[in-house]
This record gives sequence, C-alpha cells and structure tokens, in this order.
Amino acid sequence: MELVALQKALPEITALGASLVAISPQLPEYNRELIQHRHLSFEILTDRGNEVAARFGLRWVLPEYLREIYRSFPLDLEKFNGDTSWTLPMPARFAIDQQGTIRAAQSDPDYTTRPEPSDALEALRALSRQH
Amino acid sequence: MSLKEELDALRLRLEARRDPEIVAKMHQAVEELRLSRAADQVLKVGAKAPEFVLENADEHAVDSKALLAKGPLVVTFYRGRW
Repeated sequence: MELVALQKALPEITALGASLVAISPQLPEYNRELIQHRHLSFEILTDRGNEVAARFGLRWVLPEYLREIYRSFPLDLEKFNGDTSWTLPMPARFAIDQQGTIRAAQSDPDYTTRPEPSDALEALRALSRQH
Repeated sequence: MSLKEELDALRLRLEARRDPEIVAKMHQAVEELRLSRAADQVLKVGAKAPEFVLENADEHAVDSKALLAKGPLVVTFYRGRW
C-alpha cells in the first residue's frame, strides 16, 4: 500500500531529477513478486540481515513472543528474509542529496504508520529550487 | 484517502479478525520499541547517509553512489510484502 503510494509519486520524483529505491530484508524472489503484483517501476533492493538498515539506525530484533505470534499466522520471517536473525527495519524514508547528506528523514517504531510521500517530495522540491 | 487513512482502515480490518490477546501483544511490541527510544538512533537531517550496494529483484547489484551521481535519492525502508 505504501509502495503503491510511492509509485503514484514516482513521476514527480523523476521530474525533480531524483531516483527512488525501496530497501527490504526479504529475498529478491519476493521483491520480484511484489513488483509484478503491484506494477511497480522502481527497484526494491534486498538488505540481507538488515545490515544497511542498521547503519541508518533502523534495525530492531523481534522479541520472542512476537516471533511466536508471527509463526502462528503463519508468517515465516526466516523463509522470507533467508536468515535467522528475526530482525526488521523500522519503517522509514530518507531524501538524500547528491553530496550524500540526508535532507529529509522520517521513521516510526509503529509499523502501521508510514510516512506520506509528500514529505520526501517537499525536500526534493527544495533541492531543485537551489539549482 | 491519504496513505494514513488507508493504513488505519487496514489495521482495523485486520485487528477485528484477530485474537484480542494477540493484538494486545502486537501493540505491546510496538510500545516496547517506542520506549526503547530506538528512534533516537535513526539518522537525522544533516547526517551523512551510509553508502550501499544491494541486489535488486533480478539479483543485479545496485550502488547508491551510481544513483547519487544522477541526482538526489529517495530511500524507503520496507519490511516485506507479507
């Protein structure tokens, strides 16, 4: 749902000269399914073990009781992510300028809250006005 | 409908189908993560973004440096399609 909202924002992101990527711990085969199913035209990259997420400060380890709940759904995170770390990224979005500096940053520990695409767009518009 | 409204509606639909005990535990996990002040660790505006090379859905390497050479970059972290 969040990715579909980003897909809708993609023409404006592209018009502002920027690129968009999603980063997820799940294996490429599941990202491939997602791209086809949701007709996405941006890349979803696989972050094994949430190593990149950790460098952005987003990785968290699921407590044992939550792992049990997920297993009961059933939701086998080990299968989707191809590892046994039971870690996930907190949902987050960043806008990064060409010097590699973060210009917009949003995250929330609550996985049911996701940043609206409009926030990153505003940072991109500000960047494009500077040129 | 905004993304937030869509997500709130989805959450209500899902939680209505689930065992209240499980819903309570899932809320507890979010609350614990909030209380751990995990959000304080997240990189903020003005920080240098880590560079990355990750594989795309076709298992080809994508380098953030190559993307930034073309223009600004929006990065979204997504937990999974499940």
